[in-house]
Amino acid sequence: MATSIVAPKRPFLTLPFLLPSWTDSLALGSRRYQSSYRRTKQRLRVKPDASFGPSHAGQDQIIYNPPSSAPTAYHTPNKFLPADDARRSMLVESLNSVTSNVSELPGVYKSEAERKYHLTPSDIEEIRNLRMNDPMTWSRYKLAKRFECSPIFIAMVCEASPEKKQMQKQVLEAVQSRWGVKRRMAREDRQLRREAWGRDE
Amino acid sequence: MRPSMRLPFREALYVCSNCRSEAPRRISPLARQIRHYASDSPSVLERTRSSLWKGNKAPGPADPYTGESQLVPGAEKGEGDLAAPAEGEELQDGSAYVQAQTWDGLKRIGHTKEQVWKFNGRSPVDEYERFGADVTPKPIPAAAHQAAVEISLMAMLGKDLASVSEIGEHYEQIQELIDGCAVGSSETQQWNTGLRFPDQQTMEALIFVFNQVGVQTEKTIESPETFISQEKTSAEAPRDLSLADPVVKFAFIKRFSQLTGRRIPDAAITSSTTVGEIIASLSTALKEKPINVSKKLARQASVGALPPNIQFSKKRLSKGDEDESLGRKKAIYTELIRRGLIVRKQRGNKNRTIEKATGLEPEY
Amino acid sequence: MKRLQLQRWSSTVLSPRARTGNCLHQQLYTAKLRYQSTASSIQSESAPYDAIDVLEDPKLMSQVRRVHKHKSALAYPSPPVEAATRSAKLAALHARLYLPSRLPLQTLARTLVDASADENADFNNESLATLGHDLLTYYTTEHLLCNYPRLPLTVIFAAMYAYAGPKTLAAMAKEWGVEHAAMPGGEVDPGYLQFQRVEPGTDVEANSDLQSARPYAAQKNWRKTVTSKIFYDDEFGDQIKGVVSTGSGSGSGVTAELASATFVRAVMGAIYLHAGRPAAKRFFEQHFLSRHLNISELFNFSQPARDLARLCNRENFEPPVAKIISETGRKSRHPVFVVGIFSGQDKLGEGAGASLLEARERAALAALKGWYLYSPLNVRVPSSMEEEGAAPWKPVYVDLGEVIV
Repeated sequence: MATSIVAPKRPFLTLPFLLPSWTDSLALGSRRYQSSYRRTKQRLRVKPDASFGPSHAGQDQIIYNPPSSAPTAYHTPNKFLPADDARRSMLVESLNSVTSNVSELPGVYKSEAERKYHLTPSDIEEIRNLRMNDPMTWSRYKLAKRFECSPIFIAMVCEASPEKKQMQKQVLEAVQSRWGVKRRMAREDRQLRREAWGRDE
Repeated sequence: MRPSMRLPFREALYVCSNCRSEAPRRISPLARQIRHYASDSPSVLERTRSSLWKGNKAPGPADPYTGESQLVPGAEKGEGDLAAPAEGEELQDGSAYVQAQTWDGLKRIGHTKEQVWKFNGRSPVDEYERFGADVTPKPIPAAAHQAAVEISLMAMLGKDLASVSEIGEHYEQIQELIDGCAVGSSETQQWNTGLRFPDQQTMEALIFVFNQVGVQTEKTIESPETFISQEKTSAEAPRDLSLADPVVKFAFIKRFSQLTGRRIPDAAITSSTTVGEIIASLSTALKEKPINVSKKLARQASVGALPPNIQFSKKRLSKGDEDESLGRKKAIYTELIRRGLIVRKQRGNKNRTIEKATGLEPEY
Repeated sequence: MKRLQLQRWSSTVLSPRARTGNCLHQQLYTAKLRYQSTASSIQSESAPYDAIDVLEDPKLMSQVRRVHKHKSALAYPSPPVEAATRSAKLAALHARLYLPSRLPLQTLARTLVDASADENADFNNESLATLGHDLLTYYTTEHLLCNYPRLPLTVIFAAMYAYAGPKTLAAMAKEWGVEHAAMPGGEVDPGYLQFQRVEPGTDVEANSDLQSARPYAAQKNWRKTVTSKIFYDDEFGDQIKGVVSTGSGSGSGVTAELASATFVRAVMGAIYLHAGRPAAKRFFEQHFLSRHLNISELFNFSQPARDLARLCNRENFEPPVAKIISETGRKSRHPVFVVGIFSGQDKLGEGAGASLLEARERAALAALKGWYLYSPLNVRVPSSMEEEGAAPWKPVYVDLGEVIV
């Protein structure tokens, strides 16, 4: 008889065959439900990753959470908000500290050319004459060098003669005819990528 | 094993052309053996045959079951000779002969006389009608009462009781007269004395009518006054009417079954000895008729109880119905008719007028 | 199947003598057969009712009629009005769209009949579609203009097309579960969209006879300014095509897309007529505005940096300067630069790219989108003033217009 006393060392409820039959549906059923609920709740109680916490001051990081992403286009910059928009005053307060160091940021171009605005109408007339009469000698770049302005300005001011354009087109075709498949495709792809910038793709 | 090895060539009913061409040249080993043993003693073939037939009276070498072998060389030739002139004669008969294109009107061969009815098709005689189909079913009490009255009448008249069932349904006036009668509950054992008429006129009329049924008899009824009772009679047959007499029982159950339109179970017939027991055996509920879904839905649709997004059709919708609801049926049929894939039927004038009429009247 | 004989069912090829039976039909028609679902004051007396069964070959027609269940309905180009209440498809569509109960099934059936199926203006959906189209484009336009007051006109055109263009409407009709009848006719279930189909092989684009008021409209190669499109062209910036010719007979069909679009517009018009303006507005919001359209994807700039400079000049901001915010792998095969465009101390936009140029372009583009996609707070559209007890009107924000270089 000693064995019969020793045997149920385990909790009584884990041995369902020891219980009378009517308790099966009641006691075990509710207990089962409760325990599974607790278990599932427990699994959800996960500690967040350390990277989600406050940033480590003075230490370098490679994991940023949440990861950085491009700002949405629907967010209107503060400067573009009309004067009577309520968002303007709210944003000014929040962004004041962030945008203080703009002047310290490096520029995209090495050196911004100083705009001189030194050309007179007579100069522009001369540019036009030179380009029209002797397009072979006076290309855009030569003119830009002589008048100390940018080639874009030359293009804005005057246009090449049709003969020169035709000639340039033929030169371009001659050059392109020597391209192989790889180079041609690469150039085309570059062009397509360039176009995709404008659609923000 | 080749057939020529197994059987003597002449006995084989069918030999393929290859073997046939080879056969004359080669002498089969069996034949060689036969030739070898050629003597007075019976050949191997004969001995085998006699042992098979268990006796001396074995049939000859000729096959007793089938006719002549098809390979007998002379026969084929003779048949061919016979066939050729016959064909020629037929053609020579000439003008009257028309070659048949279809089998309509050709003499039918290959059946016995008993099968003729099969070809003649169904006639009105062949149709089966269940017993009691010509009678509109009555409720059980009314049917029991009518059967009891009728059988009592027949018993009074001393006629064959079972012949009541020949009547079928009565005319309305006679039905009323029968309904007015009653079977007295006092004399439950004798059917011929139990009947009570409301008046003299009824009795005479009913007796006249029922005299026509079956064989005419001239039985006079003694003391007709006893059969007339003025008291109000119940429209039900007394339950303790005896069915002990098998003749009465048979006649009653036959008539009763005919009038109710129900089959009375055998167990009920054998176990019951009174009318009441028969009625009680029928009181079990009839098997409920299955609900006719289409009828029920049609009723609901007519009331407007069906939701409007349910379309209900009594018949299974065919591909053609779908075509019509999509509107392409007209195009399909126009094209089919135009290409001659649907032959136009010749219609009589009657149909034409009907169609005109329906064409003008809206169906909607 | 050839379409040839089907054209014969129209009356146009018949001589007038063959149509003598029409009097009877007209009589029947005026007496009891058809009545309008939506009252129209103008009874078109001029258009004689053309019965289909007046064929050149009545025998053939009678035989075709015999195989049909709804024989009498074959005589009409579109299903009779009474058939609408019996159609399960129509009731299901009504319930599925959650249409107001004041909109009867008969009108819904009428919206499903295109003008190419039934020429009679009293029975087709043309009038409803005209009304519905105006409502749709009005609601869409006011929604776009009030919510995004700075959008360039080309983007507005594209957004209009995306919200209420024929392709969208056709997709909606498909989503609503509207199926197309193979051929129009009186025996067709009124729950199907009915229209005369285009003959296979016809060039859909070519047959447009231009109704544009634009001078020199025939000159295809001439440049058309965006501003002139407001004036001369339709609400999507496309040239106005010829009106669907109703007079030329049922021989000319419409595409399924166009018929579906007409149907959706007609539903809109029908709701407006039967249930009133609030219901129409609610229907518009539930079915049209609820469709997601990412307007920022409709932009396409060729030179965003230049445009942005011009914009800052116009608005008297400091000229935009591109600055590198962060970068990685400059000397590697796949560098990433993040460039911000600043005007003074304010960041206008930010973009990432594989080269400095690309990043700068993208940043300028983001800045421009930030400008154009400005949306005021608490927008109210003008049509909200029609509601009962509306608050007094405050003018909406009106922008100077897009940047013109």
